[in-house]
Amino acid sequence: MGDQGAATFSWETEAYFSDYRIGQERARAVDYFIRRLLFYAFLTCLFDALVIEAFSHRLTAAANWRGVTSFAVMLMLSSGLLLQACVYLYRLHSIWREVGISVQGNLTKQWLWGSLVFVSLVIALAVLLPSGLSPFSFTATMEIMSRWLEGGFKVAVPQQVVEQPAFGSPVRTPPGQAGGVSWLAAALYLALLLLLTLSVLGVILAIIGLLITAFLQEEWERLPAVLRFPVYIYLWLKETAAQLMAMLAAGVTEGRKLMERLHQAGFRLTSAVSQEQKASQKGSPPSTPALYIRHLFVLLVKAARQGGVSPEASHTPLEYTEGLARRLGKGQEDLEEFTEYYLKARYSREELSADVCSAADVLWQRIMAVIDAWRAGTEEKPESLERREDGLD
Amino acid sequence: MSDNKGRLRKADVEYISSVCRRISENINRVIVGKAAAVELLLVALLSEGHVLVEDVPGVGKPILARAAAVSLGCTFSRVQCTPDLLPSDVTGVSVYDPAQGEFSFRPGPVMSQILLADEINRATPRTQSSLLECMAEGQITVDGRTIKLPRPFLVIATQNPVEYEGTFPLPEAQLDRFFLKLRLGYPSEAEENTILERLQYDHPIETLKACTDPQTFVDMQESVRGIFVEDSVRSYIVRLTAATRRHRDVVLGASPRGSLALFRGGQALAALQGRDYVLPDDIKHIAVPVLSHRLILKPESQLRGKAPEHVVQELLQTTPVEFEKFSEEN
Repeated sequence: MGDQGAATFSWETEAYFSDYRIGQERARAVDYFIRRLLFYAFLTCLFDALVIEAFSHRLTAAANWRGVTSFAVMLMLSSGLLLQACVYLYRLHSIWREVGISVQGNLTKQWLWGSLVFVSLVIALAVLLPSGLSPFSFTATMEIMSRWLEGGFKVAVPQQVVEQPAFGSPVRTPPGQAGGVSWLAAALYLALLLLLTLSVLGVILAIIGLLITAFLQEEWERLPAVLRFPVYIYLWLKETAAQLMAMLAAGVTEGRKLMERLHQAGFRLTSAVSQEQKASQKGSPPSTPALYIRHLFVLLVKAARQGGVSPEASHTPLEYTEGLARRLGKGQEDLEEFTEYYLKARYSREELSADVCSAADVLWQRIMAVIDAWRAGTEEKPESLERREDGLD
Repeated sequence: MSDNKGRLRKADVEYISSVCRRISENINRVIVGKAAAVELLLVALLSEGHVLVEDVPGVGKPILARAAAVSLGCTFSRVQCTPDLLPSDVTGVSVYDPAQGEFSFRPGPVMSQILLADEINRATPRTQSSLLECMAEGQITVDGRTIKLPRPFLVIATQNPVEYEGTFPLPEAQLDRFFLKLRLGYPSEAEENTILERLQYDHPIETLKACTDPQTFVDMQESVRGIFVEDSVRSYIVRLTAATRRHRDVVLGASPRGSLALFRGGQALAALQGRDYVLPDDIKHIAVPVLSHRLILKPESQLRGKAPEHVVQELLQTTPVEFEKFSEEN
């Protein structure tokens, strides 16, 4: 109960556990991104306003301070949305994995591109909007909004020259100094104060919750509701930190995979190697039949990896070749038989004969032909079929 | 069966596989559509492990135990566990014989080769613990006298997962002594139809014949230990078990006994499939039933609806198998 209660305190956690349905993911994704866009837009405007109000004297010292502030707004908005896109992807993957739905390999890429296009559209829209309404021009937007809301109220935009430097353009007074502290600034300061107070209070309560759980262990659930509150806060903080760490770890793993794929893509582009080069890549085949078959298997995996079918760390050889067979669509019997030889070579202590070795070699040649044809089909490079002629003999 | 180096001959593995196939077919005549559960039961039998069957009433838990006993040609006893069951009701009791003027030992149901402890969680902890020694050591101690139990010895305990009122949940020490936990599950409609058809006149268990004899099966159990486990597979078992102890949702991970169970289970499964070597797939296949009942999850994870089975599945998807190094230099 405690954990469920704690979860409700976090908008992120609440979203994480929300009831996404696979059949409605498109509509929900759009709705989700719009909500997040509004949230980040609000957040960036709030921070922008705070920066302008709090550090106006420093801002005005910089040349083109409006442009710089607007650029910061744009960066915050786009990075926030991109971050949210990544979180959303991670969450979808988690949910699908949980319900046992197999995810297509290129789905992540599609989502990432979709998110990038969406963010680009938002930025393009912001650029194309009249300057008064564009979020890039914060002060102008605030002015217009204030006029709409307050019937002509004007934010004290910096206009007044406070000091004349010896050289360069005149420095304008910061907002707030020109006409005293505006009600907007007061409201923003109040919001900031509230946020800070809540944060400090939350940390103190979390420490109390930590102490309660440390002393009472699982008995804390017997405490009255008010005393359980710090424990909820503590559990929420703990859970959120754990989720962030998991996301970070997943991000690092995905990043590594992406780098690997980029590397492979680069490798494919320059893969017009000669037969001699390819033979030198293979190296000299090992002497004993078992090692020879293992060597063939490694070459097979390398070829399949160049076609984008890499073994996951948790894959067994059998799982990997089953997945590969599904992707190839043909040559399944050959692959099964070759895998049998490989498993025997890898995991048994049976001494394999030269006949087994040559049988495995024949199978390998046939499978490699299928893999090359499949890769040529996916890459639209039919000449790679010719490049595989070299074999191992 | 194995040669003097403890290495199995190919013919021996094929013999074990064929006997097990016959036993499996025999049991499947009685238990319809539960081939996977029967396979796991045979894995436990070959590994000299004990089985905990957890499922709803009426799915054939005791029948499974009885069918296994008949198929192996073993003696079979059933203990219906209740709160008033005493340890001496399980192990046996010394009674005074006035004619001889001395105490004589009357063996309890534990002295049979296959013991069914039905609804084990209804017995008191004291009675449950009386099973500890016989499950772990294959012997009992009564009145200071140690008695070896007949071989093969297998305890099949059942418990009902939906009714916990008035029960005594098995302590971790006892759960760890079970080699694996089975779930039979409800049959499909077609399977249930077959059950009704088969049971129309009499129960097929009455006509079941033994497929082997206990001594041959003991030889098979000993031979299975000669199945080869390659170093990387052994390391995988250790990594998998160690990962259960580090998992964020787990309070208590699997013990070294869990590693050993995976090891032996892998050997048994390989023998069942006629292989004289263990694959990582064998370990993955038995990991959930072998490890899940040995894990204790944190209360908050349980409240989130997480089960030990999920944790083991998660670990199977994250623990690296490391079958080859695929560097560019290869």
